[in-house]
Amino acid sequence: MLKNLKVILMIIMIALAGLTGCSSQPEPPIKLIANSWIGYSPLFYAKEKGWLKPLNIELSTVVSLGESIMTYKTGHFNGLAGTQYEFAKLQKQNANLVPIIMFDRSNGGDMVMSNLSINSLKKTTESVDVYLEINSINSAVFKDFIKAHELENKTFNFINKDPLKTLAQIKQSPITQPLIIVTYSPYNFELSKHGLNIIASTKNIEDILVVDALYVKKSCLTEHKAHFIKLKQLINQAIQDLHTNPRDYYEKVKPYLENSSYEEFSASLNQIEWLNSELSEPLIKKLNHTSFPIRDLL
Amino acid sequence: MLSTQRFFLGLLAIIMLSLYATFITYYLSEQQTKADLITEEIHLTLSETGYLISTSFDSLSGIQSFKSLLNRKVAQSNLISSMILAQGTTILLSTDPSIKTLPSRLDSITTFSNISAQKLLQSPTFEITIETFSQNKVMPLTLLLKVNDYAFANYFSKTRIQYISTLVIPTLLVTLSLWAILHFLLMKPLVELKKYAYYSKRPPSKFKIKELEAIRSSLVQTFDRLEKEQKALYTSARTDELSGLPNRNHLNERLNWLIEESSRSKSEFAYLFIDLDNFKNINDTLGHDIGDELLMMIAGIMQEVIRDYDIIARVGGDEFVVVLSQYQNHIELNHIIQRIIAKLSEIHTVGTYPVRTSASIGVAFYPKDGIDSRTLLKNSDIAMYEAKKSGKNQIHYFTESLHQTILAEVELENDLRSALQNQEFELYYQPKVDIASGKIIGAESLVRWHHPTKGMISPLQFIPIAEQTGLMIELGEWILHQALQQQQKWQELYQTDLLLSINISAVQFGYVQFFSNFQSLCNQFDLDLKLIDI
Repeated sequence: MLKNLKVILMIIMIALAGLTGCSSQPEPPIKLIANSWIGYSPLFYAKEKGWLKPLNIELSTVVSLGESIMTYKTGHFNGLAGTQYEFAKLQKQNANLVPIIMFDRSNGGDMVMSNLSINSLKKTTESVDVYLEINSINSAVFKDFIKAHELENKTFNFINKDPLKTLAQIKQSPITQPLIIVTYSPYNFELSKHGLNIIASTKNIEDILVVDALYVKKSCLTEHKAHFIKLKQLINQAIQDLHTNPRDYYEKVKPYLENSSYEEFSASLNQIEWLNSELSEPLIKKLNHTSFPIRDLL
Repeated sequence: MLSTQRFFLGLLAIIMLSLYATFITYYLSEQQTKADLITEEIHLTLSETGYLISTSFDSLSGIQSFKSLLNRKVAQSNLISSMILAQGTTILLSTDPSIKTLPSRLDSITTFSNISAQKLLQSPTFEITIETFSQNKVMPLTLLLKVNDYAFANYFSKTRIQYISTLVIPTLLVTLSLWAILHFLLMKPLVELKKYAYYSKRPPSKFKIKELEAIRSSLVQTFDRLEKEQKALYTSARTDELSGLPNRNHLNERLNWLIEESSRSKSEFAYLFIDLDNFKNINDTLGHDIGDELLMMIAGIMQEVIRDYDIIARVGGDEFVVVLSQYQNHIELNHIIQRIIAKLSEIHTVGTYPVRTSASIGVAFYPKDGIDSRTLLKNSDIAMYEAKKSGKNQIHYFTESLHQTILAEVELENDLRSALQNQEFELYYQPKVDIASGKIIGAESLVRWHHPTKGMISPLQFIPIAEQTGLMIELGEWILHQALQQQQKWQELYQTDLLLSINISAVQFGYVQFFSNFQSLCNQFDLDLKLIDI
């Protein structure tokens, strides 16, 4: 009798263990999106190094910031990398996001390119085609550009395209009329090969502040704060590796940066200012002035 | 208290309901998962389409360029019925020309989470707002998607049918099968065991379940043993150990039954108290073993003598009771008793000893001498002592007058038998005279008995005895023979045609050979039957 009872109990325990094993689903990953941008390369580096897997973080890459927003809106992501512009746009739609890790400040990384010089643009009477991703930081950059160079009265024909499509179109069609392209690194390198020059950038447009950060849902931050703290440490490690061995870093992140050359990659690095360490007081003031929340930064 | 049947019924009901509850939960969960997947798919379709439109939009004039995109999306998905692109309330593009107006925004789904399957089955319209840009000006457009009602209903009903066919019905069948198995292998045997345990009759046939079969087998063995022991106890409680005859208890049982029966039929029976004469001497001289052996022998003798339906019991050391019923009359009764006395009076060889025994018998009649077993025993015992006092080895009836009457009848019967042998009967012929003519016209034969010591005995005395003892047949034959012979003589001597009347007893008419015997006598004497009056 006792023996039978033991056997029954054993069977029940095995069944329960089996059920528990079957029913214990893996924890859903923390899903993040980032587009091709030199400032987000520490994320790509971390992914390539296999650092994200232990943190259960999945990183998806898209072409442009606009695509980032659209993809994030599908509801399957916990966060995205972007500028303060995308952050503000999503917050307006009750996205309940919070910036947790600062990547960089664009210091020439966002730029205005043209086949004409600024003076030529001022003089031209023709309508100027402006290629930009309207639904992104491009609009802010361009707005500041025309304001800074008093080009408000010019006739612009806005063409809403993401940087990759813009590049594709420029490659296919020869430039025959005045043209402005608002873009960012690394797309500028390929464009410069087709007769387009940087006529302004975040380096010389003083009014504009473009910072890149990682934004996540508040609930996700609360739930996985330890993971994000670790991620922050890994990003610091990636930037340190970049400084230590830029060549190796480049090889890892190259596929995410439209396969730009090492030289282009190095040039891109000069167009940003890393913000992974302490923020400077002036920057903090500026960020506060633009109502960019920095209280939850890790 | 809960019966096994109800217990198992409840158990199976709980199991089945639990399973069904699980199935329903799982079913609803799966439906919701499907709903979530569909919602997600629709959301992705809308987002992707919206993004494509948003990034490729130049101006409203070129809006038609997106028609192929919408048509393609609708064509590629079975779940989508139509897609509409609108600005405000104006429909810019529609894959379904029949749609002329937009549905109310209240009826549209704009948030894509927690949409139930029921909601999806209500043919909702999903919509998102997309930002397009005319130059650098934002131009919000609405992208709507109507679902395919038929595909949705079919999609969800398929799951329902699958659940019913793969889970609900098989579960029901399994439960019913389980019930049948439990019923036949467990519950029915238990009920049979319960009945058997209660009534200990009709043991159930072998069971399939080992433990139940062990219980059944044990019960059968136990009840068999109990029955045997009960029978043995019953027998020993009602049987005299030495003689094997019924004891006083058994006697009383049967006697009570007989009293009831006789009370209903208003009939009589005789209660005989038999005591062996001088049995003490046998015990004292030959020993108790011989005495016991003799008692056993006497019991056997008496059982041989009495009839099957008579009652015999040993009620004391050398005391026996015999209850005789269904006798025709006291003479027949007396014959039976006499047979007992005669048999007991023979010399018996017990061991190596020749032993002569005799018995004194006291007789009491129900209901005349007693209407219960105790009174009958007491009175027959008294009568037995009377027999002892009268010299043993004889019968004595409890009522003195009856005793005398029976003795007289028995004596008369014995005399009657002797009379037939000794030809003590005579036939007298009483003439019948025609008063008008004074002539003799016939004669009536009348039997008369000249007893050697008692003289002439009236037919009124002996005819009833002859009828009771069966001697009437023989006497009647003799009378008939004598009368017919006399008629023949008269005819030979006097050539008369006198009519001879012969009295025939009713007992004779009941005798099967009467007519054939009468016929043969008539033939023997060659008589004209017209001259015989019976």
